[in-house]
Amino acid sequence: MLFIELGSYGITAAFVLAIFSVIASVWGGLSRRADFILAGRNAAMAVFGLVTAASVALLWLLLARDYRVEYVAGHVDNQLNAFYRFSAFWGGQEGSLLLWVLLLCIFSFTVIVQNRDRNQVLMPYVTATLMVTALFFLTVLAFITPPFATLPTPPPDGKGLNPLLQDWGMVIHPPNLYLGFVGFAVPFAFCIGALVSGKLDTDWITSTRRWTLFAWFFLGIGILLGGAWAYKELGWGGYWAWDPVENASLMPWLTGTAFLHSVMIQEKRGMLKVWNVSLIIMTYALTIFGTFLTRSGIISSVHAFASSSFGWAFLAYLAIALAVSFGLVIWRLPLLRSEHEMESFFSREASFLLNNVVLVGMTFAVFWGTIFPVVSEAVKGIKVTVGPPFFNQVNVPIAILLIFLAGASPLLAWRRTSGKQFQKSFVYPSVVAAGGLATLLLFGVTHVFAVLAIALSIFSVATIWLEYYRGVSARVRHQGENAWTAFWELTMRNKRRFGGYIVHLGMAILFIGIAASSAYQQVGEVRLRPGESFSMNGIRLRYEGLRETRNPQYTSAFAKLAVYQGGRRLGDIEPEKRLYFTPPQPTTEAGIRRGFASDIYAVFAEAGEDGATFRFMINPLLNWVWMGGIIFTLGSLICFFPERWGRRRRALPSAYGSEGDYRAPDKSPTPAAAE
Amino acid sequence: MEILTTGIVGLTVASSFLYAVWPLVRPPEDAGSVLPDANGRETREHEIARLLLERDQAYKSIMDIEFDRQMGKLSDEDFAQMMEGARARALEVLRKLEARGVEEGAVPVRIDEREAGLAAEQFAAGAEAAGEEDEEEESTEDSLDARLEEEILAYRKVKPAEGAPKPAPRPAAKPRAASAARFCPSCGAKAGESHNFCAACGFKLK
Repeated sequence: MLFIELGSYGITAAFVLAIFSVIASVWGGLSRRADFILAGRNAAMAVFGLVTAASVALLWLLLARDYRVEYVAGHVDNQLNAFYRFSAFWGGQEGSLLLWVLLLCIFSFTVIVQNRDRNQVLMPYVTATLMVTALFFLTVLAFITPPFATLPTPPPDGKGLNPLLQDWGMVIHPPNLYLGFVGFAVPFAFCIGALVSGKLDTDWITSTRRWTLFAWFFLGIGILLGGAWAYKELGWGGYWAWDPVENASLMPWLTGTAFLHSVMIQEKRGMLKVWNVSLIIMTYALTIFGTFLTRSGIISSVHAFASSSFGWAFLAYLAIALAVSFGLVIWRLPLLRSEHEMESFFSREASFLLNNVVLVGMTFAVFWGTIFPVVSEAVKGIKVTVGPPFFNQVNVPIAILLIFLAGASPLLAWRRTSGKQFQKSFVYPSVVAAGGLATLLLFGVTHVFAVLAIALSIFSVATIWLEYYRGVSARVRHQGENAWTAFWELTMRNKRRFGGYIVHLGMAILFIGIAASSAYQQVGEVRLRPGESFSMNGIRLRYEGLRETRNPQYTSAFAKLAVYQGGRRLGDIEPEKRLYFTPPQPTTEAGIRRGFASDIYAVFAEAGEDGATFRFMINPLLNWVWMGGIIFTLGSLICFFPERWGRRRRALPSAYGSEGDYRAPDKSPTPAAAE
Repeated sequence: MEILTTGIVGLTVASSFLYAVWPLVRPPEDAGSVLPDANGRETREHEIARLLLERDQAYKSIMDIEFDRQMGKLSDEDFAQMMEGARARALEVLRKLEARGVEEGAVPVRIDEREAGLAAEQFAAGAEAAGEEDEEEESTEDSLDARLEEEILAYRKVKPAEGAPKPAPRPAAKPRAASAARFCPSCGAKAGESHNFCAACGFKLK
């Protein structure tokens, strides 16, 4: 019983302490009482301890298959291996909400430790805001869906984990998304702290820059991993279906992207303050909304792994959070005035602003399409489904504009760019893009959006190249380095800027992949007997026969297909069909031959006496999507590294005194500290 | 077994509560690290940490402007104007630091916030031990200017090569015997002889 009791009492105690922490922190902050501020801080630490204990308890119960607990009986069974028993932690409703709180508590703990003697004006309210968020989820866990609820008579075997979730991708995809979702609570909390305390300079932004980047990065990776999983497991040949839950993760990512760009304007020019606080409030609200969409079951989705009827709680919390946050913004409007005016349309800040408007517009379009079925049901009584055609129609042109902006803004300088400079910068990338366009047309690529997207991606890549070229040659000229050193130093000394360019490069490659694979996907469906072949686009697939295996969890049938191109055998692919025992459910594992130019994708639909039915697809440039994702990861990591990492040490010129490297002054005690 | 369970759970919960309310039972003696000062502002130590961070950011933006010029994105005129503004901001920060007793070179330039905070703490601790000596403020603008130049150069690790263009189109700081006092007509701050703009408020002086 120990773990069950520890878990349930731990959650209840954490609930009470979170209330205490909020009250003590706010009171301490407003009345300037150090004892209350410290009490609020300690209470938040205690909440972290208790939630951690509860999480360990749930994990233990899952690993030990303690079927007295309803959640354990509902999500694991005797056959499930330890790896998936571990991942069952977030395989269901209660567990995933507990993971949410756990991550939030870990982040709160980290923030409190990081700022133990910094930002003392903001910290009481930061703690309070984080604990309000924790409080909401703890309320749900303590009173609505308790994870440690027990069964009167423990069953001999559990119900097992949804087979779709039994994939390594599904083991790491949800925690990734959660890291992103929950991570945005930190910049939000600092923003609220700044609004309440009135200390609205850039401190709240610079203190949370890494947190924002962290959340944004993991959300992005989570989205990509979700796509990679869907591509392999769902068997319809794509990676993105504008499913409500996919949209739920995309929306905060879009507003987060906007935020990452617009805070730079505030840091550099003291502009857009209202916009920035609004963006982070929106992002936070969208993460809560996303959790609500996934958890409430209000909209049918492939993600309806865990649905329930406590959506009202989320909506109520969301409404309160939005009302309070924007109330604070309105109250503080006089302090949020811009320090400068926009000086020219041809400036970096103007292009960032435009990029922001585009990103928020896209978020709104996605949001509208996602909730429209619910709205129409409420208003007209008919549930209208909004499918991919709507989303594609609206978002493809917006995305194309976005690619153009990603290419154009690096060419503009802060404040203003003179007409001459502007022309000079634009000529080269435009020529390259035009060349790309001509090549595409020459090869018969005529799909308008695909051509535009690819040509503009090339434009974007060309500007990045140009930026690097100019930077490297400036360093070669002024610092006398060779090109490679200059390249490395340039990136390492301007991590934020050049890391950002690498992220853009990744996105451009990703866009090329998306454009080509969605505009030029080829699909064929055919029934084959062993020995028969099917040809598509110069690829011949020969069905060689069926092979069956069986393990304690499922039986699977593999169809062996030999792939030929121009008479040469490239290899085999083996699409698989599985039938799980508990719960009884079939799943497909697509057979994919991945390639630089195109993927050959086969789904094994069913087999009978007279042969087997297959769906074949050729997805051009699909791997570019994942390649883009890898480059995106690399770029984000560069942005994330501390400013001073990776710099080459070099002797200071003798004029500056010492022989050692430039850090010498740091190592020797400072004159003041030496005394 | 039941008793053991109750004991462990009870102990965990009770100790959590005790930990939370402890500061109320035993109020901390030194409130400096959690409370702003009496006027609702930061304490000196924190203010210095923030100013050091601002200083590093100001240097970074000067470097960015220079870099943009090297990359051919700025016309000479734009460059001069933007540089003037950025330098004014950096000087402003340096002046504030000096007023709070942070001497030249006391805290090395770093573009890393946490480290800047740490360095400031070290400094503040040292300064307090040495006895507050930030009363006198006699350094002239020019020495501030020279210091800025030097710190930026040190930060960039650039050899002041013979033919290399000066970062700013202005004469280098020249030592002056008597500081001919010059004040900004707009805000009243002391201004250096060579300044085109007021370092405190940005008012055009020439």
